[in-house]
Amino acid sequence: MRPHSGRGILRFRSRHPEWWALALSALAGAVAISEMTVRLLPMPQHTDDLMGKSRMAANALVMTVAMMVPLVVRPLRTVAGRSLWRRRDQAVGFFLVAYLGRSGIAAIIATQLALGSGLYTLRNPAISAALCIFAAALWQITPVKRAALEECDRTIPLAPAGWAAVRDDLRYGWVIGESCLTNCWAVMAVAWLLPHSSAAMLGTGSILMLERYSARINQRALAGALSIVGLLLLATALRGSATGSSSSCMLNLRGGRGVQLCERFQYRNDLASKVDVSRLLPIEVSVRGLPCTSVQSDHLPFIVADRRS
Amino acid sequence: MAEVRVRRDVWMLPVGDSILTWYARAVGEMQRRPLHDPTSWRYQAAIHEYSRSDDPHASPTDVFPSGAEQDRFWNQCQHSSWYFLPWHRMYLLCFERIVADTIAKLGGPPNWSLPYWNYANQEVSKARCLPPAFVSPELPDGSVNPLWIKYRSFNANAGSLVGTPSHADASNALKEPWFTATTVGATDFGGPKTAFNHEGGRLGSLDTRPHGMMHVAVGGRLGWMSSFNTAALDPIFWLHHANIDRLWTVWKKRDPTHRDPTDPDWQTKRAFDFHDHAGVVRFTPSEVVDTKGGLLGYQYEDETDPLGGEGPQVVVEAEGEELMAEMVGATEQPFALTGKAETARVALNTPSGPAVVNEAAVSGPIYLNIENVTGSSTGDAYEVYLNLPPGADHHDHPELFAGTLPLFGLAEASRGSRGRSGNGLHFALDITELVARLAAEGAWSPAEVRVTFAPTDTEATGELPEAAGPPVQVGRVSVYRS
Repeated sequence: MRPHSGRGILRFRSRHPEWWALALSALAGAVAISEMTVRLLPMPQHTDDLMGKSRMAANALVMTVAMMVPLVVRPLRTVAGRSLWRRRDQAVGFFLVAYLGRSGIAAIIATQLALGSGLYTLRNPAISAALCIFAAALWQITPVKRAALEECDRTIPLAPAGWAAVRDDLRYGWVIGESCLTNCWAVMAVAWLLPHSSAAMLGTGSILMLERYSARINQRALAGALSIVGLLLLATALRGSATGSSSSCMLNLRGGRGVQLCERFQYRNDLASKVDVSRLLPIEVSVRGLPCTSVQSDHLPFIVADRRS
Repeated sequence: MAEVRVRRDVWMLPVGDSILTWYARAVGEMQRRPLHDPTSWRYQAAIHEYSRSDDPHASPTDVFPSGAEQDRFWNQCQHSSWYFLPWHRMYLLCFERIVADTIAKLGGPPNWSLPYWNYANQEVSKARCLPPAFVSPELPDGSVNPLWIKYRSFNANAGSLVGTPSHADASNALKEPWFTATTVGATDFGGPKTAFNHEGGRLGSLDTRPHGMMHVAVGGRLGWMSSFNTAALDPIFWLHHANIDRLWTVWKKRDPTHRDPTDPDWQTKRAFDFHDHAGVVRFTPSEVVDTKGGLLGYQYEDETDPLGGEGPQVVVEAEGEELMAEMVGATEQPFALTGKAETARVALNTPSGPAVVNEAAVSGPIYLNIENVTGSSTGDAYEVYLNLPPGADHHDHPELFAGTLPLFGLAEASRGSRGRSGNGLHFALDITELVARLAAEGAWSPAEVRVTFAPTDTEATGELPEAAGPPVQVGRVSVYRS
């Protein structure tokens, strides 16, 4: 006779086979949020260097795991429920590999394209984010997007065992990845364009969760709400550009001993991507013990400061 | 307190009763109204589903409601979902109000109530026949009978028995202990927990039989009752669904443990919009669970239990808790049903999860699942047999009958568009008793089960040519054990 707690665990695993995938997603979310405040990942020297690109790719992957896994709870339960008990976790794993692989590739391509096209170093990235929100609002009411949303709950026949089962689990993850990307690329692009904005991540995440799990979602109303947010963002950004007004920016500088040093300073919008922080010297800026001449702000993804300029 | 109306059994109406006469007049009046009028016949049918390409009444002069109105009110029918019963109850209620209002305006009696078609009524030998008012093309005065349509199965319009006693039998559904099962692979009465579900998926037992079976039995191949997007154009649709609605009441009354879902997602979180005679109305499932009180105010002439309380001993793990289940075997490849008997072999594995734990205490239910059934066929149905001897005719082995697969709405459920994922239909059959019997007879192997799909006898439809239906794809056959 098995202990009662064992039955409880079994019941939990039976009903929530997705638990460890969600735990992984939560961990990724914690890393992403931490990264926005404490910079856990290596900081780039310049936007066009390898470190910068790698860092953007890592950011995109972490954000993808954090935001995309909670959207597939139903497919995860399906793939587990339709698998032999002994390989349920394997089936979930193979599904995730294909699903996140597809989503991750798309995220990396999108961020690298944005990086290459200079979207991140625009005079005011809020403008490009606003334009992206308008695109998302328009996409929200297209038949293709609505069909894709339904197809996120597709099921396919899964072989029960052997390589055929692995193949089908991967295929299922790939198929769902395609539907989910078609459904949410426009909203996700907002988060990808503002990779250091926790507001963007939480906002877009909330929209995606709402439309996947809300008992009743009015896509036109959602598109309207997105348009209003885009308009507000655009108006704020344009007003700032027109007046050349100063904005406040919090620099999070991490010292060599891991001490967080914060300085509030003013930058003008027309300073764009280059900000001279020499006035903050003699603060020695370093990341994990290495001298660093670049810093990041929460407002502009990349503010490159050169002590010698 | 408002008067409680009685919905009458259409086959028990006394001679000379005017319920169907007034129904016919109201239907005729509603059929004359334009498509964009919410009280028109076509608009009411479009609430269930509308497809311009399949609209038999399509006209170049049609004026359509706005896109927003169509999104809100058309293509709303809920099947393969725990909303199947409450949504259709709301649908019927609003339709009934429109018909009653139309009848009153035509000078008829007030408080007209929709009758129901109890095709399983043991007291009526012709219970499975369509009532005479539906099968005559003309009324006694020579005018067109609004209750008659051409596109039904031959037997339906001939006034003969429709389908088989098995098709009309609600016993399996009425014995289901749960409205909505949470156990993977299991059967239930009302359908699985879903969001808004205007598509395929796993059907609840009542949704399968008699609901789906009687749809295809009346519609036949190519008949209106066999497709989501034309079913509600047939006036018998409403009487059929009144009976399904009645069976929900019967199920709840026959056993105090039979309860509606208490989950707020079902009770209140999802509202559905309709038009009745006075304008737009909105209901949540919790508002329609009590037919006698509140907004509804009706009861059925017969709400007694046809099984006399008979039912299986329900195996539960704890109060209100179902036994967990696990998949123990499935077919490797999809296969096609082509209108003749086909057999699939399912290799069975030794349970390694919940079924092992359960076995220590009880022998739980066993379920057969037929997943991702897709195709463009309409009006077909298959019967399922277990371990039919090779070469044997299924007609000779009724003892091996496991259940039915009505393909009502198959084409619509298989389309990956118009808000659908294209998953097709998914059937779950409780084979516990059959497996126990086979095991007792030494005819059950723990290593393999043969599942035979035999087409039900199809009937020609009206004047349409009888043709072999297109093949039906079965994605997978699987076995679940508790």
